[in-house]
Amino acid sequence: MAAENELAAPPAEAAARLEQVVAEHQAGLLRYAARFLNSAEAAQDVVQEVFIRFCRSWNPAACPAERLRFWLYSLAHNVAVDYCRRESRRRKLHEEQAALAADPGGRGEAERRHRLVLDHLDRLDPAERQVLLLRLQHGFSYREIAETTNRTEGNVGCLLHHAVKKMSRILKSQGVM
Amino acid sequence: MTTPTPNATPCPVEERLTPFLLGDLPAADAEAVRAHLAGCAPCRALAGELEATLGLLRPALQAAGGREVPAAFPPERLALVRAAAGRAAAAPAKTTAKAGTAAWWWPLKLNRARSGTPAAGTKKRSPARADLLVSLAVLGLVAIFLGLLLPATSLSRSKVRKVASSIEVNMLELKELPPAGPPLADEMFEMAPADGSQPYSGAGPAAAGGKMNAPAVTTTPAPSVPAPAAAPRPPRPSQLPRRHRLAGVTETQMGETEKGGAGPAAAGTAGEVAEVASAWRGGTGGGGRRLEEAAKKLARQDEVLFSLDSPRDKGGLADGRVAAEAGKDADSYGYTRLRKGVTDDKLEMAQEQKARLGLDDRAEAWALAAAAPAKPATAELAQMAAKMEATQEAEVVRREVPRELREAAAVTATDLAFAPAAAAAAAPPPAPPAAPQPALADFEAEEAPTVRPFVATAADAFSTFGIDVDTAAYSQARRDLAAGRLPAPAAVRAEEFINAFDYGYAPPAGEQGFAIHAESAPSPFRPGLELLKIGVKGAQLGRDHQQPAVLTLVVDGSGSMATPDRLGLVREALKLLLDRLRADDRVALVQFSDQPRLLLEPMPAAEKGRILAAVQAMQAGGPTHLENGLRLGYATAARGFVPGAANRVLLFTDGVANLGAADAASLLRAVADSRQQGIFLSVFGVGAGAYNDKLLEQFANQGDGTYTFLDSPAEARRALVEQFAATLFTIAKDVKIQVEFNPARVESWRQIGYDNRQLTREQFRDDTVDAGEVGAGQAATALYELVLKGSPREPLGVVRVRYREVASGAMHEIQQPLTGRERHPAFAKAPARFRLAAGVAEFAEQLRESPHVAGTGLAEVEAALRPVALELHLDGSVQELLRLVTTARRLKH
Repeated sequence: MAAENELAAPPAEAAARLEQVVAEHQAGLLRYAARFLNSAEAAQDVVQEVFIRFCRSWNPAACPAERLRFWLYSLAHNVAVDYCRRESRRRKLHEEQAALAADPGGRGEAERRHRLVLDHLDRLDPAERQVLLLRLQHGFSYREIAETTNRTEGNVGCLLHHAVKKMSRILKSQGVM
Repeated sequence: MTTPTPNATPCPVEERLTPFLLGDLPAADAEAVRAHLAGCAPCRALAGELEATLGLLRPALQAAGGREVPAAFPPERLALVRAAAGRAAAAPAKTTAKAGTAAWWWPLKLNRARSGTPAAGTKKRSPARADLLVSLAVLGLVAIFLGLLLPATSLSRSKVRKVASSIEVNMLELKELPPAGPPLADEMFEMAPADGSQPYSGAGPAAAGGKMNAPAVTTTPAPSVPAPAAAPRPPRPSQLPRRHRLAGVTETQMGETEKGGAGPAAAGTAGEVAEVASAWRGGTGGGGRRLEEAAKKLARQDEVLFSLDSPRDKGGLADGRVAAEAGKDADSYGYTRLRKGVTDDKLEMAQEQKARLGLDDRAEAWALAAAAPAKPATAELAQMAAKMEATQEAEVVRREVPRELREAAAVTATDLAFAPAAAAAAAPPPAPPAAPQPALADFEAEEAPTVRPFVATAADAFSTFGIDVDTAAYSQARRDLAAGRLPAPAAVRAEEFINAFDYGYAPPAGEQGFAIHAESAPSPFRPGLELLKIGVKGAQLGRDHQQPAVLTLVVDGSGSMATPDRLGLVREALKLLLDRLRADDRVALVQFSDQPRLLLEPMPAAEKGRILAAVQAMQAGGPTHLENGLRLGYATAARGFVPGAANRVLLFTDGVANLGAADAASLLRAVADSRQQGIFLSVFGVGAGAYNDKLLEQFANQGDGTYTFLDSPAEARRALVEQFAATLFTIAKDVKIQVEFNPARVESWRQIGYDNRQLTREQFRDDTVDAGEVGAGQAATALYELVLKGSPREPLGVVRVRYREVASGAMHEIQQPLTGRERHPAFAKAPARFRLAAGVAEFAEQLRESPHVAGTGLAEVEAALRPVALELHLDGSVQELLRLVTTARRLKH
């Protein structure tokens, strides 16, 4: 499928499509990946892989344009989960410390408060994290989340609730709340 | 913070707490959760916690900045993506195999290269070279594979000719076959409805009860075949549609298709289908003479079935089976039966059914159909049906014509049999005497009807008009003003502006169909004139009186509909409508572009999942052949007709239709005919711009329907949800209003609006005249400007409303005198709704550039409406109106 797709579409059209998709979705995907993985470099890698896979396997004739968004976010989630599995926690911490060292300086009170909360985000399961991010960070409706994650809306609501409940327990145990 | 004791058994409501706190729950569920929280302390505590957490999470997640959030996707990475994509194009097999691994690690390695690891640089080159070699190898293999495969699937001309001629050589040796027997069983089953409730007509177009030959049809093209020398050039191969090429039809056989003018590519109607079929059968033209002879012999022997077989279906196979069957009497289609898997019990069932219904002969069925009340299109349809009698035509139709069109043609031919049967079997309202053919208004004209002048009461005391409850002109004007342009004066219909607002009329008491409310006050815009407002309010239908609805949704699927504010809006509107339907309502879905397609058979609205899936799957593209779409819609509605229900076709279109005047005229006639069968029409327009407003209004008028313009989801909600009963359930048809003015009190009068609904005084009691229809709970308002004289104690006149009750079909007339007691002494003292009506009417007249309002401007309208908007501050439509007036005023200067 991918072979035919690439052989069939003229390169100029594919390039234009890529540009458009990058322009439209890069910010959202980067934010999603960043919050999911808590690391800037990792987010860049993940989004890069997402765009590469988009070029390879997105067949516009097979899928309506409005599903592209769902496809991209679910793909980003899958790639991020893969990344989590591959990368050891040790390496991530190493990166974070390096980034922290390179940090120009404290960004302010709000930033620190957010940090307190977001550092614990990776204690959630990937599925819960996905639903939480899609709902609160990107404002997807339940139907859109259901389509992105291939679950039912009731399931989505349930996951969301568990995610928030878990977060509240974590934050309480860490003394943040 | 104290930790609450965790629940041993969590409440069932708990799962919904987070959606409730986020505001995602619908109102009913939210109420239930709130009620639960009032009584359950642990849940309340949990909800408090969750709220606090959300309060922390939301700003944290939504904060745009952050150390770990990169600002943008850097260009160097974009270059990497492009490179990877380019490599993917060059080496497809390899990259898809290694998608998960190589590309994943490679950019990371490059990262380290950038950040200074020298070892990664050398690694970069070798993967690329290995990639290249492997990709070349794979490409070579793929090329060899395709090279081997293509000749087997391609249908080059010479190959097809060889195969066709080989089949024909076999055919030449076959004996002549006996005529076919009873109709093809599975064709019959296709035509019989699933619930078996409708009379089986046996008159499907594929039912070849008669003889298998159709010498009348085949020989017609033959004499007209000119000598090969004079034959027109056969069409180039590229002109042949793909299905012809695949079917083995060569261009030599297509030689005569030019004579019909329309090539086989545009088989838009069943008539053209017949043409196509006959062309295939009879066409000779150039090419080898042996082929020509073979073709003629085939036509004589009606072997078209075999010559159009795909090359796979060798003649030899057919040879054996047919020879075996040739001995049987009247059973040459036994082979067809075998091929189609028609078993004996199916055939028995079909014959049983036919016998049960007393139709033992297809001719009888057609006689029945022919005995139906004559309709203008009967002759054409009967002719079409006759043409479709031949088996080979049916076979050709079945195999080559797209299913949808076949259904359209099929249903059109059978609705002759269905519709009169259904109408006879049911107890519908007695059909009105044959109405005179609708006078086709000149919808090509761009000029509006001229604004009517004041009429002296002494000359004519009667104002007679048909009611209009449409509001499309107001929606369109709203759309235009929102887009920053003034609406075209010709498109402004004052009555539709006035009807777009609710004036709070009380519904009729008792059994009456309508209540008449009249008010008058001096006009603020022109001193000395009096404004008379007459409101007619229809009866509401009680819950138990509501009939089930049988709706056929006809959606325009042409390319012009492909924008979100057209097809997207229609999808939303349909979803709103479906939510509002009850389980016993029925819905069918037709979509049309160049061909009509029945997307959903009539099915109960309870199957919401399927219906919603079909609605969601609609795509747009192609030209707009409105006529075919509407015909299929009406045919589907006729097929699914339920007596006693509200049978209605809802048309959603943007009106950009390829319709000539002749087509539009015939379509209007078809609409008018279907109206007499009891199927109503509602037209919903979407989109702006080149919008054929007049034509669609004509359709709505002819179909006893409303015409609404959906300019936004809010309007769709208003028309399909809030006005659901009014839109779907008609309580009165042919509603006419007559106001008789008292010459002693009214010097002259002028009606505002209703310019294209005027009737003569005699037509008021003429029951054959078609006027408007009113849905349940709908109201219409008419405004007059009067010049008064004489004493205020004199009555102004009498208002009469004459209508046909839909439930019983009887004509009713009610009347109410205008005593003069309804007069308000000053405009400012009149109720807010009256002043609203006056303001709206003046606004419409200003936009229309009517000469009567030349002395005033939009400033006065705004001044009159401002206090109304303040008083009716809860009514959003009034606020919106004021904004529109302000916008129009700004645009005019």
